[in-house]
Parts: sequence; C-alpha cells; structure tokens
Amino acid sequence: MQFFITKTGLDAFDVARAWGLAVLLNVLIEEEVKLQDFGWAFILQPATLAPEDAKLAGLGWRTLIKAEDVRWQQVFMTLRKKQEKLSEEEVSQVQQVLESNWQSLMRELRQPNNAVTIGQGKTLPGGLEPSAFKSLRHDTKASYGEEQLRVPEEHWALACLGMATCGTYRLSREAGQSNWLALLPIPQSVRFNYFRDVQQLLRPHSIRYRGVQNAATHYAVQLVEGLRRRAAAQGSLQDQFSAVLYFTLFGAGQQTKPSQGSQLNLAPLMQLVQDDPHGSEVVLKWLDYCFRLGATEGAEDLALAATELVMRWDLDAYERLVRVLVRVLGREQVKRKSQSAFREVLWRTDFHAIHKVMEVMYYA
Amino acid sequence: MPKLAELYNCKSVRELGEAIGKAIGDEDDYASLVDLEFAQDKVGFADALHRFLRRFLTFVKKHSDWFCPSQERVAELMQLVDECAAEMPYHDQRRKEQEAIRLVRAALLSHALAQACIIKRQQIHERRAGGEQ
Repeated sequence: MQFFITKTGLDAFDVARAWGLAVLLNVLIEEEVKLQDFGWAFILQPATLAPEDAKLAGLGWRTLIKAEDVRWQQVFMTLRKKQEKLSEEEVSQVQQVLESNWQSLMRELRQPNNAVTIGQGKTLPGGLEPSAFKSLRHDTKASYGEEQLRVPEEHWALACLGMATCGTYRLSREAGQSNWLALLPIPQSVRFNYFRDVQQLLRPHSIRYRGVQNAATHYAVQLVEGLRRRAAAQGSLQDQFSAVLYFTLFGAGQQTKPSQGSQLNLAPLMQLVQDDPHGSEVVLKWLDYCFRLGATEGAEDLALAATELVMRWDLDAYERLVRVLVRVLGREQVKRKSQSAFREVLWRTDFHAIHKVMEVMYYA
Repeated sequence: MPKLAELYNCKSVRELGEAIGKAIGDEDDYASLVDLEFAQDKVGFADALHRFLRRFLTFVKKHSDWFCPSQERVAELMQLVDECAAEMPYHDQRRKEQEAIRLVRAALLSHALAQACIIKRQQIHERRAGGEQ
C-alpha cells in the first residue's frame, strides 16, 4: 500500500508533511516505512498496514508529544503570543487533530491525485515554512493587509509533526544578533525506522559559524559523514538525501520572523559515498576540519571558501579553497589559536584526499 | 572538457606543483603563488613559471635533497595548456586559453598544497624530535 504526499510547491511544507507521515505510520505500525521522492510527490510505503481500529495512544506517540528533543516550541516561534503557553496550545491541537482524523487522512493520502487546498484551515507558522510568512499578521494603522496562508488542519498537523521531529533548530549569533537556523533534510530514498535516526544526522556539536550558508554547509557535510558511517557499517548506502533545506529566523522587535534560506544540493557528496563508502571518509573529514579551522579568528576566508565549494563544487570554488588553504598554512596566529584543527587539516591534506575532492567535482 | 583529476596525475604538473609546495612550505615563497595567480594568458603563465624556477634554484642550493624541475617540464606544462584549450567548449580563443590556464593552475596548486602540508608536517616532527633531545 502506498501513500502519496503530492507536492504543493511549498518546499518545507511538503518535506515536513512527508516526514510527518513517515513518523505517524511508524508509530502506528511500529515497523519500517520506505520514503521516496518521485519529483511530483513523496511516496511512502509502510512494511504493513495499520489496522483501522488502531489508536494513537501508545508510548511512541506520547514520546513525540512530550519529548524534549521534539522541537515544538521552535516550530511555532513566529506566532505572537506568550511562547510556552502558545506552544502547548498548538501541540495539543496537533495531537487532537491527528488522533481524531488519522484514518480519514490516510484514506485521502492513498489517492495519488490528492491535493492540498490552500486558503482554508490553519495558518502555516513561519518556523515551519518561511515562504508562507510574507505579510503582517495582525491589525495595524496602515492599510496594508494580506491573507494568511492557510492549509487544511490535517496537513498542517502532519507538517508540524514532521518539522518538530525531523527538523533541527540551532541558535547562533551573527553580527551581534541571535538567529535561529532551521534545517530539514530532503529525503531521496530513505528507510525510516525511528525519528531520532534522522535527528541525529543534523544535530552534531556546532562550532562558530560565519553566516547561514557556512553553518548549513557544515551541517550538510556532517550529515553525509553520518550516512557514510552507516553505509560503511552496512556495506552499502541505504538512505539517500537529495538536499538540505535551511532558513533563518530572527527576532524583529515584537516577533520572530523568517529571513534568508535555500536548499543545499547533496547529490555530489551522496554519489561519492555511494561509490566508495570507506574511501569517501578522507574527503568528508578534510572538509569538516576545513570548516573547524575556518571557525578560528583569522581564518574566516577558509570557512567561506569551504562553504562555496560545498555549495557549488566548481573549479572557481575549488581553486579558491586551495589558494586560501595554502595561505592559512602560513598564518601563525591561526596555528596558535586552534592547534588541534590546524594539525588535523595539515595531516588530512594529502594527494589522496585532494584527488577524491576532484572526483566529487566530476560528479557535480 | 578536460578533467582536473587527469591533469593532477600528469608528471609535469606533479613535479612543478611539488616544487611550488616546497618553496611555500619551507621558504614562504608566496610571491611565486601571487605571480601564478595573476597570470591571465599563456605568456604571463609561462613567465611566472620561469620566474619561479629561477627563485627555486636559489632554494635548491640551500636544500641538498631538493631537485629543480627542468625547463622541459615548463614546456610540457604549456603544451598541456594548449591541449586543454583545444578541448574547451568555447568559441572565443582567448576565453579557451584563460580557462585552460585556470584548470592547469588549479591542478598545479593542488600538488603545491599537498606538498606544503608534507613540509609543515616534517617541520613539526623535527621540532618534536629536537625538543625530545
């Protein structure tokens, strides 16, 4: 039996719904769910079918609602009310909607031609879908006004569940201001067993970043390294992700608002891991330590050059990274400030690692 | 379009790249690096390589275990630039040349980077050994 998450064009909303449905099916059947991106839709295939009389009441479901590592509060952070109270209200609404309507939602999603009617139902929060957040959300003295972006409440609840469980929110300081960086991996072909397996991939320890793209690319490299380790242990790459969706949320006086965001293509790195799960380690570790050394004061250009390479994988970006790295090797203050990262870069930069990086460029 | 990884395996690229890496790693010869980076055409690129080799000869006198790549390697490298330019999918001859130089230079600097790291690692080992004594 297949379930279809037909794409609406709202990228984060679509991906979050796909993850949400995978989580929901996984809780209901307690077995693996296969999730694939077919371009026009995400297609989910559970190992078995959930019985019609099944109830969302077990420990697995309660964990999703109550666990601290499920980021409900961040999903609703753009709504203008007292944060904690509001978050609880919205979460209980998600819970209520899914508990009472999951059967009808499943029936709807079994139809390949199911479509989300935009304009009715619940407002999409900016912490979930940045492109949904595009106007003033309350009355002002000015005459400008725009309708909120509403979606049916079952789909809203599904998306909120997916974003809270499989998305990641990181607080970072940039130019004296605290921003939230939201990350959501886009699945290509994934065997979903447990939501924490997805969480783990994008929640490693962070370092000091030089901007949104820098942070997103480092998280992406670490995600691929996580997948590589699994692939090396299992013998082949089981789960594939096509991209990482990222956007920032910043505090604007009274309200938190989404700002810049984009998608980071993971295809070249995924291809490398698929071809050689063991051999690709040198590239991923080398890039990882370039980012770590780039976090040091005085090596900002290295962080930006590594970011550019991972985002573009072209000759310009590669040449720039090589030039910058050659210069960073001679900077004594960088060496003093971050000895371990400096040594790691020194030891990991060799003919083999560089040759492998060139292979990734070829895939791109 | 020629592949960077193929150029990276060429003997002339490897020898010259390693020499640049040694000069940077041990003698902080960043002037040659800048010289190569600013080369826009074939004549400028060949001139920058010749200037580097002249500098490198003075370094070789200090380091008995180093050897200086011959002028033939520069000629081979320039031939490689011509071959790459011929394969470039552009109509403009100048653009073809510029892109070929960028590609060959990227391969050259890749070897330089790896070699500079080897030199720096050796320096750390020597310092450690010196400290232990």
